[in-house]
Amino acid sequence: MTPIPQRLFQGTLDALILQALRAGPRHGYDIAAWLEATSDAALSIEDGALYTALHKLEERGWIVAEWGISDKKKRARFYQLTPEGRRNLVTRVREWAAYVDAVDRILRPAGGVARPA
Amino acid sequence: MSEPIWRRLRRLYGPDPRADVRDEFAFHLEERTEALMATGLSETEARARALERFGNLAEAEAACSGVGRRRVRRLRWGEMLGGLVQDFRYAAHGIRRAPGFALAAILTIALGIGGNTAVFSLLNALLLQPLDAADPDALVRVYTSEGRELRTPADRFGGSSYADYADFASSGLLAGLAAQMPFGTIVQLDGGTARFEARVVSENYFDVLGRRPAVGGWRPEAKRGRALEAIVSHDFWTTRLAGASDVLGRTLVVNGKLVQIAGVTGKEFAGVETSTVSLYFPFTSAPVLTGRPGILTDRGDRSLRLLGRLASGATAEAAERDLTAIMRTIAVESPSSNANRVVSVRHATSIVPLELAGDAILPTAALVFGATLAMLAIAGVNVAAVLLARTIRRRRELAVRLSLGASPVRLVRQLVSESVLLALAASVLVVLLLSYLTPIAARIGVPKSMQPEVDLTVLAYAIAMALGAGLLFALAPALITVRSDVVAALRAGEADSRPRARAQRVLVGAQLALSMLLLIISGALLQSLARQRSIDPGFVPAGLIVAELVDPAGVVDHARERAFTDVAVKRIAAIPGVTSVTVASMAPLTGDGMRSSIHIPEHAEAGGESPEIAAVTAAPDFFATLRIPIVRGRELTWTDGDTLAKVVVNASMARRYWGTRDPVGSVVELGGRGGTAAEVIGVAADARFYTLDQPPVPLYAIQRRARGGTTLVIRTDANRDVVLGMARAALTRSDIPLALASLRTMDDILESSLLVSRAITSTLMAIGALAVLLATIGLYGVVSYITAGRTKEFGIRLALGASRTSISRLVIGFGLRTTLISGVLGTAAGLGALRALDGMLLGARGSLAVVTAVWVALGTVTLVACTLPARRATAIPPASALRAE
Repeated sequence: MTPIPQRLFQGTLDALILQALRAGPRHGYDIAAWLEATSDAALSIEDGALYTALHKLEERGWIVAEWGISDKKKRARFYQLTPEGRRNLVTRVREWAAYVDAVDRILRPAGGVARPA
Repeated sequence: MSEPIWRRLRRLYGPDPRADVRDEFAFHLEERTEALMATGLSETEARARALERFGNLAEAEAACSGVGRRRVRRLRWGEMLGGLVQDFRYAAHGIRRAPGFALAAILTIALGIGGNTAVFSLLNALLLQPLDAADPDALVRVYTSEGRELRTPADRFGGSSYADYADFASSGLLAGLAAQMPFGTIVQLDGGTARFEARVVSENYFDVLGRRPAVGGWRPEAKRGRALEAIVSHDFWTTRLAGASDVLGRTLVVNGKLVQIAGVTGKEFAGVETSTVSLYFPFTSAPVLTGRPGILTDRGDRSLRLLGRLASGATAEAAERDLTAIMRTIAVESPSSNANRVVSVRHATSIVPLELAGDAILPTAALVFGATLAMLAIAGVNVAAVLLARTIRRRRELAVRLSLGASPVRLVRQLVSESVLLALAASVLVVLLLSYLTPIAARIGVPKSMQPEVDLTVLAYAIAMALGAGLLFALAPALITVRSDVVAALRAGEADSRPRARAQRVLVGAQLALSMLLLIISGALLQSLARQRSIDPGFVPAGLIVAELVDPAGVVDHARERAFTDVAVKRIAAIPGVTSVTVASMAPLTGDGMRSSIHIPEHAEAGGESPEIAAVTAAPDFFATLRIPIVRGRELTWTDGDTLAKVVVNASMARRYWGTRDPVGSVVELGGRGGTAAEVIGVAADARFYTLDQPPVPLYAIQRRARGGTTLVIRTDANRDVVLGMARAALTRSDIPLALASLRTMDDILESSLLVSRAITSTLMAIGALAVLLATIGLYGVVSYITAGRTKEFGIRLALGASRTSISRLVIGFGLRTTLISGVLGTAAGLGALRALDGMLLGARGSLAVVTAVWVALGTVTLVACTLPARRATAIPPASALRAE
């Protein structure tokens, strides 16, 4: 089975950001808002940390940024996945599923609880 | 999909990452505040909450703009590198498209750079590399001479006597002063004898160099007893003594004397002499080993070379002043030998002293160096011409790209990278070739101390030459690109041919001028070589046979020499066809000979000192055998009794030291005042005794009936091969106490004395010929191009009734004009170079004959290069010419 790398723990935020950009370009606030909304506010990420992660992903070449105009007609910096970022996102999701699967089997050994798909 | 984003990004990305980050955060906080206000918070509250959710704003800002700055930097590098890679890929493509041109270009450039670098590496080894010694900067060479204004460096920077050396060594400004004196040895080894270069050295020689022997060393004099001792070189130890571990204390027979081995030099020690020295002896053994009893006391015997180490803080100038003061004290005690002697101290910067290099090495090296540079330039011109043609063809495209905002720098870089790529490829070839340089030098017997090494300096030089050449060749095309008039280029129906024609003509002109320069110099060399061949040496070389013999057990054993002379002369004289035979210390043109002090009373009366003059020792019939006429008096004959030494002086010596008086009958003292008395019995005509290209020098022959030396000079009027064979048989019989080292005809000796001159001349001739070939191709190219461009004009002229002859005259006239201008420049440069060399190079001088010959050659070549294009121009029917675009 797919091994679970150590970086998963540090890289979770990266994976979330990549996932947020899967559907198309978003600016920073949009990403923060989407993460909040999608997780039903369960995940509360500090905005500063989010931006630092964004810029580092950009440096790594997984996402690219571009100044554009927001739907409220303001100048905003939009982020978009690069092909490399997209490939990484796929890997991350697979790794995450394997991880959850493993943890799940350990934490709920005897139950009849349905596994997450 | 990502590609356009990258491009857009690159264009839009601002140069100030921090400002961008601030803008981004401001937008975020604004959005967040608005969203919070939408939930009912007041603006102040909402702003505070937004800031709180953001966390540490300053920290995030620093982190993000740090990332941004790094990326901007990388982008710039990336863009540059990407551009460079693209440039070189483009260049490589160009080279692949025209592989023949590339190959020719690479080969000619490699030849130019290679020859140039080889000369450079030789100069590097001889003149730039420090001596193989500890702290070589503190080493100085000490010279004495009869004055500072003497003409030749060899006279200005002369040797010292041992007595002078001993006095100099007391100088407080020298931490040490070593002396060495060269001499040849015959060493008896298992299975025969061999000659080895040796040095008598002062006992501190290795200490002053800071290169102690690896094994052993001089023993204190008291312990030496009566045995002679030697330190042998590491090479001698390994090759001649099989690297025996019990080498210390072993004995060798050197010049017939028993010598004990006291040490072996270090493995890495290459020596600081310009020859491969195998044996070192202490000065105490010099009188015995060299057969010169007065060597340690005679202040007139200046055979020593001194190498000193400056005391810390002392300068060469101060040392020279100090030694000059010491010399003055010596002069008071020994005025006859030292009154006018001056001292020079020079930094010992290289194996060949710079102060002595001016004589022969520098002019020759400078010439070959210059010639290879010229060849490189000529090869480069052809490369440049092709690049230029390519550029002009692409001129419209370039203009369009420039007008669309492409940076001219980038376009130029593309051009440059092609020529740099060619030059670099050539330099790889050069480095490959150079790696054979050291082994070749070793094989042809260049001493280890002078072998050129392909070190970092040499490599850096080769690469720098390649890069420099590459940049230079792209210069003309690049200038045209940058100066491109966009509008004109776009408007022109076809690429404007004028700039190309002009630039190409200038390039070809430069080529022709350089070829002319090379031809003039090599022509002058050729003429000087021919002159040397036709020089009357003053003796009659035809019919002379020279046999050199060596004493297997000692260079000076008078008894053995006497026995040899008696036996050999009788036996050779008995060979049918031999008309005359003599014995001498050397035959003409076979070496440097010796110089010896002579006291001339008539000269001393006029206030002159005992001069040092070239001398030979000779048996009777020396001048008769060489057929050097005796102009006054006579020479010794075999029928004379074996009395005191007699002297025959040559005309130059008689003129200089006796003036109008008759030297015959004068009694001179050999070896300086107080030396052996000898009577001048004759004056011989001048002859070129040492070199063919230099005028005769003052010379005297010391003649004794039964002793001349170990060289037999034989004159024959019979078949030389027969006589050679019989002489060989006669001289290898067991009752001859000497070993036959060589047996040659004088004609062979004359040819081999021209060997170096011939090598230099033929190298330059080859370079010159290649240059002319390249220039001819260049000229043909430019004339064809220009002729093709004027097809329409020629058609009109023909249609209007111009004759075909007038058209071809037009074309040929164009070529001839180009040659004329280049020819004048090249001739001036060539004659200027020859004048600057001032006959130092093989006596080469400019002459009308050479200039005429070169002009005729270049003129012919021009006609050949223009005839074909001219014929093509006139062959076109006017009607089709008029239609031509």
